[in-house]
Parts: sequence; C-alpha cells; structure tokens
Amino acid sequence: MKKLIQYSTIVILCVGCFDTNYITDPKFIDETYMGRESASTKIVDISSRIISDKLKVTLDVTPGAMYTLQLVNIRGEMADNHGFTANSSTVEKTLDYSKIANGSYDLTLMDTNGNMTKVPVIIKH
Amino acid sequence: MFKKLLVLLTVPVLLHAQPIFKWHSNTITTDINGGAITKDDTIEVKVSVNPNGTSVRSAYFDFQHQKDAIQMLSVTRGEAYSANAGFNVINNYYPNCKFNRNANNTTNNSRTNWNNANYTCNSNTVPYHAINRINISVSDANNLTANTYIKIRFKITNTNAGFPYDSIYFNFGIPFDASGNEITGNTMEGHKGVWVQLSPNANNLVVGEVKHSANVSAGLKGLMRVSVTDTMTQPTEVTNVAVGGNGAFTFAQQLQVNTPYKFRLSVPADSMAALSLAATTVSDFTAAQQEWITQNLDKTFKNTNINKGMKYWAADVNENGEFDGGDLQVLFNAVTGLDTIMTAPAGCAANCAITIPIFYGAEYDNTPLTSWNSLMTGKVIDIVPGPVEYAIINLNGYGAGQTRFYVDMREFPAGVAPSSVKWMNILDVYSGPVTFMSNDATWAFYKVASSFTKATNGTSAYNASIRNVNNGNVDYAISSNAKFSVKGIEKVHVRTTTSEQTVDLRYALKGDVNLSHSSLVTEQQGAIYGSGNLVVPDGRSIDVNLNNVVVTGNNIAIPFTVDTKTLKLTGLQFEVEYDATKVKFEKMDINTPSWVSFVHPMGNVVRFGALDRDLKNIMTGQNLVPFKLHFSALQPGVDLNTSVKIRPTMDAADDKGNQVGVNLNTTVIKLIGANFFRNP
Repeated sequence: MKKLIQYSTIVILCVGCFDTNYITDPKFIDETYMGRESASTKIVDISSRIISDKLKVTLDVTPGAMYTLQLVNIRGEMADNHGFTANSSTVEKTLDYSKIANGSYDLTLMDTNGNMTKVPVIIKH
Repeated sequence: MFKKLLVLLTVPVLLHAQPIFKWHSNTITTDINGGAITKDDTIEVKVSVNPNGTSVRSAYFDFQHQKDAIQMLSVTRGEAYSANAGFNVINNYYPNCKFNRNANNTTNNSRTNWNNANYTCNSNTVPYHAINRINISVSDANNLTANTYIKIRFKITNTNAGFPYDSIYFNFGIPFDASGNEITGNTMEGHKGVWVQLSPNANNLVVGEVKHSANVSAGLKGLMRVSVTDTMTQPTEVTNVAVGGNGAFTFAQQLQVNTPYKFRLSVPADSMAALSLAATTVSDFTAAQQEWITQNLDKTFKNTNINKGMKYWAADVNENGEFDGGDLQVLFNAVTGLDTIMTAPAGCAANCAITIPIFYGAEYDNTPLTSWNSLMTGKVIDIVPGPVEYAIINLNGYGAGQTRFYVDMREFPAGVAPSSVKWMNILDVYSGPVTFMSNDATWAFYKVASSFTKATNGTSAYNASIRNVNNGNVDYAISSNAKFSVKGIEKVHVRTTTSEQTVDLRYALKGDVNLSHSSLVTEQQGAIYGSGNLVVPDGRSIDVNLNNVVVTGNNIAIPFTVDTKTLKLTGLQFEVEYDATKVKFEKMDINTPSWVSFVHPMGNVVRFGALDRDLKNIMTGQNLVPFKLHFSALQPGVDLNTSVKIRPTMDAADDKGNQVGVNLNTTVIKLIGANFFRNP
C-alpha cells in the first residue's frame, strides 16, 4: 500500500509536469526576428559607377525592415556583404571597397521578402 | 702585332660579305588595287635586295609557280637602283616542271641550292606547275640600295572552285657584281615561298549552313562539326570543320571537284544524352499522345499535333518505322528522366564524337506525313556523267511542274527494285525525293517535283552531258551512269562540281516531337528560347514567378507560382540546378489536378514536372503553386549564401497537347541566410 501511494504520487507529479497544450498544439518561438515587412527596396542613387575605394549609396527603404547590400561578381560570388536595419525611409551608406579586387560587379539590395534591386559597379583601383 | 690582329679580324668579314635576296613578304592578301584577292585579279610580289656593301648588280633567278592558276605576267624594275639604270630581263619558261624540294636545295646558299636543284618535268604528273628562270641585268654607276630588286606580276586565273593552290617559290638567286663575277655565300634569306591568300569565299566548292535550333546551347553549337568522308563502305574522313553558332561552313581545296562525298554532323558523345533529355519534354509527349488518341478509325492520323513528316519521324522513338502506341511509353519514360532516347554507345564518351541525324533542307521541310519511313530508309541513285544516255528528263511528264524521270533498267543492280529508290542526286541539277511510278522492261519512271531549270537553260556544269532531244525543249537525255546507295539518316550525299554549290543541312533528334531542339522547319514550327524563357512562335505563354528566399532555418522551400493566363495546361516541366555542397534536395510538394508527376534527381540537377495523360484535367488560373521544392541546408541555414538556377529545359503543354511558352521572372533563385541581414 505504501509503495502504491508512492507510485501514485510520482505519476501525478509527472503528469502535472507536462503542458498538455504543448503536446496537442506546439508553439514554436520564431527566434529569427527579421524586422518589419519591407514595403520599398530601391537603390535611389550611387556616387559613381566606377569607384576606386568608397561607394556612397542612397536607398529608399522601410524603417524597421532588414536589408542586405551585397557586392556580387560576374560569376555570382559574393565579394562583400553589409546587413542593416533601416532607421528611416532614406538611408545613405558609405561602403569601403578598397580591398575588393578590380572588376565588374553587381551591387544588390535585397529585403527579407526576397525582393531585390541591383546596379552595376566597376571597381578600378 | 696590333696590325696583324686587325688584318686577321677584318679579312674574314670582307671575304664573306654578300648581297641577300628575299621575298618582301611571305603572304600576299591584296591585289594590285588593294582589294581582297579573287579569281581574275592581278597580284604583285616583290624580291628585295640588301647589297650588304657589295657591288651586286645582276642576278639569275629560279622561280616556281602554278602555270595555269597563277600565271606570270611581267617582271619590272625595283627601287634598289636608279630609274635610269640599265635594266634587262631574259626569261626561260618551263611548263609542267617542278623543283623537287629537299633539305639540300632549300638552304640560304643560292649556289648550293642551284647545285642540288632537281626537277621533274612531265605534263601528266606535274599538271599544275611551271619554272621560270629569269636573268636580270642591271647596269648602274652606283651601288644598289637596300630596297626592291624586282617586281613580278601574276594573274590569278579563273580556275575551277576548289583548285589546289600552291605557293610561289623562290628556289635560288645567283648574284653577280659590277664586274660580272658571281658572288657566293648565303645570298638568300627568309621564307622560300609566298602564299597567295584568296578572299575566303573565292575558291569554295561547297558553301553550307547547318540550321541550328535556337534551343541548343551556344557551347554545344560550337562543338558541332561537319565531317566529310569518301563514299567507300569503310569511309575515310577527308576533312571536317566546326560549324559554330551561325552554322556556316565552307570547303574549298580540301575537296576534289566532281567527286562524291558523304557529309555527317557530329557532336561530342558526352553531350548527346543531355541534349536528348533537354529535347524530350512534356509537350513532346502530350503532342504525340493527342495525335495518337484522336486517330481516325482507319488508323490514319489527323495530323493536328504532328503536322510534319519529320515530327512523325521524331515521334517514332521505338524505331519500328511507324508512329504507334509503343512510342508513347518510350516518350513518357524519357520525359520523366527514367530513360534517355539518344545516347552514345558504350565506350564512346570524352574525346569521342558521334553523328546525329542529318537531312537536306528540302527533305526536312517536305518529308511526307505518311511515307516518311521509306524515304529515310530507301535507296539513293546518283546520276553522274557517263558514256551512255541512261537517263532522260521528260518535263511536265506527270503534269505541270511534275517531271517524269527515266532511268534505264540496265543500270539497276541485281536485287535492287526500282520501287526502292526514294531519292536522287542528278548531276548538279537536282537533289531530293523522287516517287516511283512504274517500270517496264526498258525504263523505270519516277515523278520529280522539279522543272530542272539548270538542266534546260545551259547553266549546269555538266551541260556537255545533257542533250535537248530534237531541240524540242521537252526531253533532255543525260549521258550518264547510275550509282546506287542506301540513303540512311546519318549522312547526306554531296557531289562536288567545278563551281560553288550551296548545301542546306538540318538535324533532328529522336523524341523531339515538336522539333524544339532540332532544326527549324521553314514555317518555324519549333520553339526558341530568349533570355531564359521558352518562347513559341504563336506567342501563347504562361507566367512563372520565382522569389529569392531568406533562409532562417535549415529547411528551405521554393514555390513555383504559375499564372496560366487564359491557357488550360495539361503539362508542366522544369529542371533546376543547385550547389550540392551547400544544400540537399529533399522532396517536392505537388499540387496539380490528378496529373502524373515525376521527380528525377540527377546529381545536382532535379528534373521534375507533371502531366495529364488524358489531356482532360486542366490547370488554369492565377497564383497556382503546382510545385514546391524542398531543400535542406548542409551548413547553418542562417549563414547560407547560394542559389538555385533554372535550367533551359522547361516546357508546358495546353489541353490540346501543344507546346506553350513559359515566361520566367528570373532564372536564379538566391538563397540568403538571415545573418546577412544583420549589422556587420
């Protein structure tokens, strides 16, 4: 009888440990917060198509949304990446490409919906 | 001591000083007017002299050239001496003679070359060459300057196309000084021959084009070659040439005049299977399926989806000589990627080339809808010049524009039935299909859809073999022989003449029912790609939208979103390529209306699609997602930077089984990890 009481107590305690909601309706917490929904993903202006080191780029974006500015060579390989969360609708970025090899590249701006715009850039040191 | 040393050092130099003659250049590319060289042009070649401190004046030369093709016209003074200097030319001409060149008579020492000179003079064995011995006498009070010694003009005569040209050779030149003494030593320098480079099209026997499919990749087009062999049972290759992206090719002196050849088109063996897989897609199956299931009760076809004889040939993938239900199963297996219709034979892969079916343009366009098989496998007659009038052209013998062509029954080898002949190459006046009509004990009669203009207006190169019977302009007898062969599909027969002829070649692939990857027929029934899209001539198309993917975990889904616009689809197919070191293909979700689907991973390529074998369960509408590809990341997904590429193999079919176009918004789907969006 004593053992029965002990087992019953353990079973009751164990069952009480489970969140039945979790079992029947699991809730996954999205730990990868990707910012606000982007409503605009545009490269408005760049300082020059042919650059030797610094490139100043003006973007039309959505405050709170996350973006990536990537420099991609003609083989599709990423030479540089700059991720950021927009803090205003017009964002200016100055990118240092002084250590990037000479060549023809695409500068791409991509939002978290996969929307992308790009402009060609030539780096000539 | 110093004086003796000076003498010792100086004497050898004085003893060996000699003038040097050489060609001004070793190739001449322009005529005397500065234009590209064509036949009937005049060219000028120059011999330069460097007197090298000597008193050289006169010289005795030996030149070789082609006596008929490159005729010597004149020798005129150069600028190495005064315009008032005495100048005299004496020439001895030796036609049908050739300088037998060897290591002992092609040195830089003219006297050595002369001493070792050896000639063959024979009009039969040396039909093309001649020697000119030219003695040049120059009298001038002053020594010569380093400049042109003589200028020689030649006429490039109007020889037959494909003439075997040879260089103009400078065999030796013996110099004499102002006192008439021979100057010995190395008096020649540089190349001994001058090559006369005619304009690229000035000597062609064959000017041809292989009409490419626009859907064949530029890389593969660049690897295709036209191979020319003789007509022996075990053929020997005479020459070959790459056809390139525009499909153009020429043959000049690589071929002989008035000679039969076989032309083949080869591709690298390791490209064959990929080309075949790209060529056979869902609309090839649906087109064949629709044609099959709508056949008439008498087993004839309506020719709605398959409306060309070449398409029936392509649909006969089990190669039993007819289009039947068995072909559908083979086609379906090929569409799904389970089987490949055209492959290289075992042991033939890298560095091995195989031929693909090749046809004349007229044959390709006009292959009949019903008797296409006998045309492909029938006999060929080559009517070539001969001693007896074994063939007769009877204009309009079977009605306007339908010639009755007679072939003497004595020309048929034992066992060859006149009815088995489906194709004729008649001199240079006709090459194409013929229809056997009847025969009697003397003649076999064929209907030929041609007016034989070249035979009747005197422009044939074989006009001497054609007789206008009774000058009636109706019957033309041909002094000829008939040569028989099996046509086959791996080659075309080409007989060179003495003038340039045009050859229009096409290729086709078994299983490519809509000819999308074969040559276009004249009405452009096939499809072409543009900017990664599939475009069909009638312009009907669907839109397919693909989006880049931001990867937040290790599972990646790529939906294919379709807008069929007004079309009703019964088939859809794609191929994607990915980096197998970064992602792994897991599965595909399919959301199509009761279609048969297929997913065939092939290394880092996935071939997938679906089709309705009944052509009844249509898919139509906007924002449809018939396919969703699932990949898993082989590294943390949030750090992933790769892409999935859409390969050119894509296809769509409507509810009639016909091919429709596909407009893609992109051919590259970027997969970018979430960490790339974070601040660096």
